[in-house]
Amino acid sequence: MTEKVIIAGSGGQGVLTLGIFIAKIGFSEGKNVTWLPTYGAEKRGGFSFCYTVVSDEEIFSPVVESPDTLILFDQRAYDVYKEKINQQTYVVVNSNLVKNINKNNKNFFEIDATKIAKEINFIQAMNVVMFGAYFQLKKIFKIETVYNVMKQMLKGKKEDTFLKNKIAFEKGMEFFK
Amino acid sequence: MENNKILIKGNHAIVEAAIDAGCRFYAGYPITPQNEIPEYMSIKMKEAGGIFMQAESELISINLVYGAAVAGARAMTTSSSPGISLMQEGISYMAGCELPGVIVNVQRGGPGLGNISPSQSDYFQAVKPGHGDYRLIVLAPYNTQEMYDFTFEAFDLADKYRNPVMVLTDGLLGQIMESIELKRKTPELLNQKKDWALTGAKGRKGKRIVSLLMEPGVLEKHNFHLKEKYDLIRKTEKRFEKLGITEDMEYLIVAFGTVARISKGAIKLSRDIKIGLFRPITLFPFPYEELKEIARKVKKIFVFEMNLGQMLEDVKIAVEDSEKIEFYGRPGGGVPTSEELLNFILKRIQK
Repeated sequence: MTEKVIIAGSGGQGVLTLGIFIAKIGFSEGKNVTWLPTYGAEKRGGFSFCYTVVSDEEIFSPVVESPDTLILFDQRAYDVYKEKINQQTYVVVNSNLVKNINKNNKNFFEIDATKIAKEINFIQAMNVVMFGAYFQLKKIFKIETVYNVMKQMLKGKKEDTFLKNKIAFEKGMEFFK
Repeated sequence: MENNKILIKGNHAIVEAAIDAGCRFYAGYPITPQNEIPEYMSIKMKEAGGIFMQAESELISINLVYGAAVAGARAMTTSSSPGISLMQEGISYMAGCELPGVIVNVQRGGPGLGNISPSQSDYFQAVKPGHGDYRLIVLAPYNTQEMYDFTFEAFDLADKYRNPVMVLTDGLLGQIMESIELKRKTPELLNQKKDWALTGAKGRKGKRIVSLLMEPGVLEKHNFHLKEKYDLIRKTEKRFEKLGITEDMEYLIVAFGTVARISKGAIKLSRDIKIGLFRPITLFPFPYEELKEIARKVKKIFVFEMNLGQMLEDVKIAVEDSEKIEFYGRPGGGVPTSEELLNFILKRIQK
């Protein structure tokens, strides 16, 4: 199994954090993982992306040229990466911010993650809603690992932060059930 | 998941290794893509009870390390390409004074301020460094585990030979997160006495460590002494990795660092082609003889680098028939893909 993911959006949306989250889940399940962020020029509002690879085999290049999955948070991210979509690629877009699309692929999934995150009064977890959708669609990770890693990453935060993230994750997951 | 494994960023792995190796003095100045090193070091060095200094420039960083080394400390500085250029004078002084110290170069694109993308264009300034007849021991990691291992080993090597050691890495290896195994062992030479160090002359005769040797003939003699040391290093510290080197191998890739791991991917994609990889791990000392031996048996040698052909010159020294050599390089921050390297190989094989 090799899963190559590109996550893209804008600085502040949790692009890099989601990449680390997926890498940590893969690592916890005993896989080889690499995570490579954009660096240097990222700031709130700037274009941001990262490459995450999870594999049973040795990972040679951490640079993802042909992704198995694209998780796209906004229109700019879609416009940059639409060229990489082929018939096999899984594409998960935040339909709140990606409006102008050419849906020519059977694995193209839209979810209004912004709206869902707002409904639970936790807009910061838009990325986690997106992850919930990805988790459900691809089914490559165990749900216990997701919760464990989530807890570990939120260590030291307020008690209810984990619960809110958990709800965000489950809302995203339920959307494609 | 094994318990001794952690998921860590390359730049952070360097910090963990330095602390584990007993480094208790660090000086640095910000530059992308190595900023996570001073950032993380400022926390870790404090925990370890050592000294962390944000210097006002790279010139000061290297000279602080120079000062700490002369007093016998395990000291380190890190930077990226333009910053390393600024350090060359200090590094030469350290080499002249025979002082141990570790310098990490997380290379970026050049020349000039260049860009912040990964590059290997400082091969020359690492292997054939600044002014004067001196050498650095140069280690080139190709994954996060080696970022940790080589930084750890660099401190012992520096003390063993009283010579600066450079870990030559790049923005990609600095930025990626991968799993590594922490060794958490005591370095072999950590407690070795440094009789030469300047620790205050109370109760003993004063000592001098200088790089200015003006009396006639003294500097020449000193250079011959240094040469003996470098020859010993050439004999004892050469390191390299061979992959898929078989009796019936027809082609060979020579690559170091990031490009070596991408080349491994190209070999995997190449399926039926009988091709192996020779990866120099120490760039000084360069494994000339070992490469020469393997090169004899193959039809073509592919040299891949993220520059315009710097290690290529050393490969040409090693290989008898340099007509066999095919070079492909990506300068200025370009990172090749495995497919790209394979395509180049296929084109040249069919010719």
